[in-house]
Amino acid sequence: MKKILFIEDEAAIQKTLGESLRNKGYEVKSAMDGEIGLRLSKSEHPDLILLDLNLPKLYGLDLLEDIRKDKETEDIPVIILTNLENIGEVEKALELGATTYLVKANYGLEDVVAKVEKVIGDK
Amino acid sequence: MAFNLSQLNIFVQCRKYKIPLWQCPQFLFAVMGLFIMFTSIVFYAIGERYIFDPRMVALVVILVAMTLLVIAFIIIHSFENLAEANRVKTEFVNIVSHQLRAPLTNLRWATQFLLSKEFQDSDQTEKTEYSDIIRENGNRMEGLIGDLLTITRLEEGKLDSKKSAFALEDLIEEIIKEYQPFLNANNIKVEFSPDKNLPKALASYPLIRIVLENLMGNAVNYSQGAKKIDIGLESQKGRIIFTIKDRGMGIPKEDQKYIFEKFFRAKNAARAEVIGTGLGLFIVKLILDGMDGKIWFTSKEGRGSVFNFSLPIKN
Repeated sequence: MKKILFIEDEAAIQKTLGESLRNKGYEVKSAMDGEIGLRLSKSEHPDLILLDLNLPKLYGLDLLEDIRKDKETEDIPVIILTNLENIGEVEKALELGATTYLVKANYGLEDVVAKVEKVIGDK
Repeated sequence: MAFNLSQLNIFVQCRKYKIPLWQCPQFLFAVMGLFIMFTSIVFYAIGERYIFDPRMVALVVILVAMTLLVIAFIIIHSFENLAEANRVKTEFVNIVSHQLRAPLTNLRWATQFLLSKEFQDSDQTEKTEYSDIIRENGNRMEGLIGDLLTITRLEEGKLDSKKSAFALEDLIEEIIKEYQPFLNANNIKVEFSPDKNLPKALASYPLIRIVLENLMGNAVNYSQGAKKIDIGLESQKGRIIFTIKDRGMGIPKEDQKYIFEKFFRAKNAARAEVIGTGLGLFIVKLILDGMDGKIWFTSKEGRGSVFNFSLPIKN
């Protein structure tokens, strides 16, 4: 079973998207803040990381930078899933090696699930 | 932008910017123009009279140049102010749209999940959970829009800010009564012990009501299982001082300096999923600043917070 690490502090989003992914047969690990997210990304060896940016304790892009620096985690695909929509963040995320950058408000639940399936399938 | 005649009327233009006349670039340009015309004429007269003393003419030229420099400086400064106001507005729109998007996404995704095929065979508890998400996020958006409207009206001076003398203790009693169902639901007891023979407060009654409702709401929401809130009222050095004390989660030290800022939420509050817009205390401070009031607080993480404000009294 493929494993997804879902780093997001909004409980409602954790619930809806997390549950939808579980229904598709993925194992979903949840982290509600950046520090836990970073820890789990190293200990859980996920196949994909879904990453919010505005996180308590550790900002999403700093977390991404850390993941990319570590040999163990540098190849894990990371999908940024946020409501922040400014060019600066998008550019920086892609520069740091994010696989793709999704703005929550522009996508329905099923579109996000489809993106996740595509990225994991391409891996 | 199409040109119309009202653009020539500098007073109409300046009123649109909502800034004082002496900070309005159009007005200052007109002043500078008039000044140049006036000094040119005076120059002509002086030049004729003091034709034998070039030092006098040079002195006048220096004075005029200096005055023009000062006016030009003020004009540039006023343009900077306008640009700054514009930047603040853009930033505000960005933050607000982000803040509104979060609950909107939650609503949309929860609804889509409820409608999905996989969901049809889930049990009743799970169905209630998703209905709760929808209800909570609806409330969150409503709260946010309400707070934003309050701020806009306050900043435009459209809320009733007429000062009157009233008994603050009566208003507090009224608000405690209003909050009673909410307090009961959270199993919290409020103890209100005002001093005797208090003077009347001199402030806007409807705005102080908003202040008290916000502080009361915070005390309840951040109590996190603590059972008691104390409210006090005393008079000191010609002012009346309000105190509200909870024994809840408190505010982390590193967050304390930001709590009156727009959209700021303490980290532990966001983590504990206390619903809030991050605008309540900003509104409270905005109101109190506008009526010679002061607000301060002490807080310890895990122990609770004490918020105070003071208002002038009627002599």
